[in-house]
Amino acid sequence: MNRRLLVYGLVVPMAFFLVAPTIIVVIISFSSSSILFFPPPGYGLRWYDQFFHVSTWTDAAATSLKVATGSMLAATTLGTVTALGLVRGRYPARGLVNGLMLSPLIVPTVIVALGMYILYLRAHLVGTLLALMVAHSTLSLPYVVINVAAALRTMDPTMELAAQSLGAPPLRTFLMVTLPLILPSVVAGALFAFITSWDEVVVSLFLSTPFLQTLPVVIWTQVRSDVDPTVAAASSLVTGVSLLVLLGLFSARRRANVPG
Amino acid sequence: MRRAPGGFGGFNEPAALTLERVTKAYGGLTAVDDVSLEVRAGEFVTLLGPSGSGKTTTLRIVAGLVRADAGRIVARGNDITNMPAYRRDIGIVFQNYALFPHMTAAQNIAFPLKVRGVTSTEIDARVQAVLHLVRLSGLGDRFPRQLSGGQQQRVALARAIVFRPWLLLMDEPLGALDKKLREAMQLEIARISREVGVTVLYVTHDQEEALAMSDRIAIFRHGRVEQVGTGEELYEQPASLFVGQFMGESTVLRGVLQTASGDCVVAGARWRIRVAPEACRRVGVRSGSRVAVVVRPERLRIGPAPGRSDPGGRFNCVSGTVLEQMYLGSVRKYVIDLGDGDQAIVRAQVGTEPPTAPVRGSVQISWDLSHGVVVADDREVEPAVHAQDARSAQTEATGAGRVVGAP
Repeated sequence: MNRRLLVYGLVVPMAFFLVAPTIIVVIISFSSSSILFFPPPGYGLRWYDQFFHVSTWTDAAATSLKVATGSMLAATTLGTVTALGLVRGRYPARGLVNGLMLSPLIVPTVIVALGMYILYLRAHLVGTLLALMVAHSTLSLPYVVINVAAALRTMDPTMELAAQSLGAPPLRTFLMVTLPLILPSVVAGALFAFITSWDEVVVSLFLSTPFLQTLPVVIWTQVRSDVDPTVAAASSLVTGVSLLVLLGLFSARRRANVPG
Repeated sequence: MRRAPGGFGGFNEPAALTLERVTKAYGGLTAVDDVSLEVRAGEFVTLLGPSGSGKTTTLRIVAGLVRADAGRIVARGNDITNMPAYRRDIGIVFQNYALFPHMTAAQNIAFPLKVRGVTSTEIDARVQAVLHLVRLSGLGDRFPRQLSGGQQQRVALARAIVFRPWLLLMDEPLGALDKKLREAMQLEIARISREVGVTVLYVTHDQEEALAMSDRIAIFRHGRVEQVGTGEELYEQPASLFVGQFMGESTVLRGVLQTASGDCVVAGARWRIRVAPEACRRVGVRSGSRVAVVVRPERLRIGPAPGRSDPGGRFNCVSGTVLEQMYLGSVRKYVIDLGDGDQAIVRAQVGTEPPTAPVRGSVQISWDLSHGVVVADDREVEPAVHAQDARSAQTEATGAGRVVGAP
């Protein structure tokens, strides 16, 4: 009885408050009206049509995809190698390196963004794809490191010893034994990295110019200028992609939990 | 037991493997303490000892998976102390098998050949041959999780020998199997290693397993080698109380050694027994020192010394009270209290047992004095209570052991 009370009295309203804004945005994106208003007077796909035919939106979508993919690849590679060094390595100040690695999770994003802005300004990188990729891979590195390090820690250490004893040098051991065994966690880390970049606003705002903007940045600026339901359509698309990646993440997680 | 052909006579050929004063400490704990050992080509040598006695660390140092703090590893005349594991050409079977879960049995076995750049046609042929050798033909396509424990064990063995290593290391390979399967696999491992002709260094805490498989056994205790010898030597002539109690059951009589005019007598609180003079000379214990006399259960008989048939006085005789008797099938085992904490264990063949030895009854036991082995009394070794499981009792024992080199 108590549990039922808890579910209906607390959990359901909480879930509603969490999901409602998203649902409202999705509903508005199918509106037939030209103002951002809820509930919509009628339904249609005109704002999605608009989205795919206005270059501001399509350019931003392309930029976001490029940045997310690039930073995912960079963060996954670097993060996996870092995790390997953190878990298997034996050197002084390992704890310090570990802490530094996770600092993007702790330091307020605005501070990180400001720091990056100042730094990239000096390097004349503001407004370039590279800047966004580097910045986003920095932000998502901890997720890869955490995922891969956990996999390395729970992996049977005799696997690598066995590979060595059978004649495999360290690189061979990593590629043929370690990597296949931790692959689900590497994939999970990669998907985390992709999402982190895909819906990142703060750092992107600092590093964007009117000529190079990611999708979330365009949504943000559009909301502030002309309020037109294309924003809702764009938001729904961003959410949709994130949702797909999340599903991929769950299946990767499930595979990581299945004993080999 | 098996013997390598000509293995023991050939003192001129260099040992296949030599450990020279190998030492390894973890933090303040010395896991391997000044261990020296020689293994001849084709020999099956077992490192036997309680858990935590340094056998596995020693094995891993030989494999190159653990770096020794001091000492040398010499393989067929070459110093391999600093050679990385992947260049040593040593096969290892790990306790948990360490099969690669993302590869089939055949892929697991092919792994060492693949990293050596063997052609795929030869890999196929050799994998099939070794699968046949370990009696797993037809199961090559299975993944490790689809195989039983015994089958996984065979795959691990096949993988460790397929690249024809000069040395095969096995770390408690049968520990995870049940008793029946373990005994069957003992025979299998002995057969396979004989067919391949590989030198084996084997680690176990099971003395029966060690006796069944080994040419020679090295007894480990607290990171040191306590004694090296054939199973028979260790059983019949233990060099220390620890070895005497670790290798099978034994009766231990503690007392003070008294030597006078060539006669050797050990005096306890309630008994005086004689031992062969050569037995006390061998271990080098002086008159007046505390010693323990180890007698094996098969050497004891219930009943008084055979007076008429013992004209030279070759028999010892002490009396005690029967604490327990157990019927074990082919033998009957008696635990007899000799007073002052001394206990005798007697194993009598069923059929030859004495007519009356009831529990709580008082009996006499006797033995030929040449069967008493004199060792220094290591006070810290507790007598194995009822000797039901000498192993577990010994695991608790602490204290410094003496080093006795290879004979």
